[in-house]
Amino acid sequence: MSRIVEVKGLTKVYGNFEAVKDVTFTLEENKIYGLLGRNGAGKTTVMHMITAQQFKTSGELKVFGEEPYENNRVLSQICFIKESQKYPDNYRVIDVLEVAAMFFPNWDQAFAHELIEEFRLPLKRRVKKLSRGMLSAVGIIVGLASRAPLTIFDEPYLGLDAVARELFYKRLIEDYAEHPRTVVLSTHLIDEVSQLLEHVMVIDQGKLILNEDTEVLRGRAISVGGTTAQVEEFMKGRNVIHRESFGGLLTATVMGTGSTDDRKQAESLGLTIAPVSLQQLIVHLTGGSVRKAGEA
Amino acid sequence: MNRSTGVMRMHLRDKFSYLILPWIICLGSFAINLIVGGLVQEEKGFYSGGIMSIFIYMLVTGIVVVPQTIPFALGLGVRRSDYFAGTASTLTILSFIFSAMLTLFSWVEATTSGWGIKLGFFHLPYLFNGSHIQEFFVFFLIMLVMSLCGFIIACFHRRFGKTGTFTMFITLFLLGSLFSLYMTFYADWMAVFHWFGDKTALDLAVRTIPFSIIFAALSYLFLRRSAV
Repeated sequence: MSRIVEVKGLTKVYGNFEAVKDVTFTLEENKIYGLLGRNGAGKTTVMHMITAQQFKTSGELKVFGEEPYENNRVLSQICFIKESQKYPDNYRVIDVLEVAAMFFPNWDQAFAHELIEEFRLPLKRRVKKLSRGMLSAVGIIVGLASRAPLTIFDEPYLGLDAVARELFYKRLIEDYAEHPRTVVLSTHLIDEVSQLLEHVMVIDQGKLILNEDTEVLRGRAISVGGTTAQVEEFMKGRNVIHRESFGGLLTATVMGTGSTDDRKQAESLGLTIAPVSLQQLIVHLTGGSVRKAGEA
Repeated sequence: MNRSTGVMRMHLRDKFSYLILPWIICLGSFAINLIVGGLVQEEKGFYSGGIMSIFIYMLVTGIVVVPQTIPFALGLGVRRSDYFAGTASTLTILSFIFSAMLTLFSWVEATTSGWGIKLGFFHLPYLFNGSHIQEFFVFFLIMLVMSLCGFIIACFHRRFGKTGTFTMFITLFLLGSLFSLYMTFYADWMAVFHWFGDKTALDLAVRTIPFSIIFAALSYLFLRRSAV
């Protein structure tokens, strides 16, 4: 499989603040990646550097095998949709689409108009007058219709309602099946996208702390349920990231290797075993133990 | 498709800001002068400086165009050099078209002896100096240097931020004051005035060419190192 992005020891320093510290990873062709982490973790900075909108302080950066800075061969293949994207004041939705069509070689105008219908966007309205959710929809439509070999969505759905978010996931996965490409999704709504992600990267305080296939990651923790005594017995000597009691019953999420031994022991204790949500795992890994999973 | 042409088309999609509004302002000023001229019926005719509005507009355009469009352009994966080429070309083409229109209006004004009321709005003797071709180049070169002056200010701001721009203007102001002091105490202001007085409008306009080139070159260097 060919490598779309290769990042080695990437670092970005603002004054005396290290926003990104020595990050190393690769992105492979035709996979959907999740880039997760808390606010201000450095996700957007990493993506800005990949797309040559920000300058790296040090490290190596190769996109489609080349330096992305001032390189049309690379830049014309990337579409980076970010929550903070600004549009010219007098632009209407239609203007954004027409201009985007000029810069993305694989742009599909018919598909863009189909999406406009589905997201119910007013074509002739000025982008400035759109609601927050509609503004996000504009970005999503550009991202999908660009069919760029590397498409990056950075918090693409601020203010978007649940119906529109579902629509986005559905259209993304459908179009991805027909036109495979590399997709990076950065989001807080981890559980919503966990079905889409094939690979997860977690950035915390500028450092890449996790870089793992979703399947492997899921196996790393299990959730066990049973009577309090049984579960307490199983918890001994194990890393418990979450517990919830209900009457005499207890459910606990336990980190470990997720090995068969663990499962056997749990079964022998008569416990019920359930998979753990990706969100809970990430919250735990990013040191969010104070916060409840639902708040992430 | 050539990506710098794409940048030009991106700018010109906003027809109102770049093509219509400057003429609403300029022709608005013209209309007022026309009404006043018609009411006053000055025997010797009268001249207006209203034509300056479109030159000022181009300076402002040069400043405003960058913050309006560069985040969008870079967001679509446009190179900084293509953005520069497309934007500088757009400013040049606009200056060209606007100057041609001003020259045309000047010609009409001259042939109708000031729209029948001896109004000098477009046709100004110093700028005209005997030929419409000369007049066109005066309009064009001055408009170009003004729009590029706006452009370099915007690019400088993009590169060095608020603090940098503030520092630059303070420095320019101090240097200007020092120069003025020097001229007053050690040299002759009159020599400067005479130097300018001896030149025709075209002489002076041609002398803006090196400034236009320097402004454009520096704008490019600033843009190359600017981030979103």
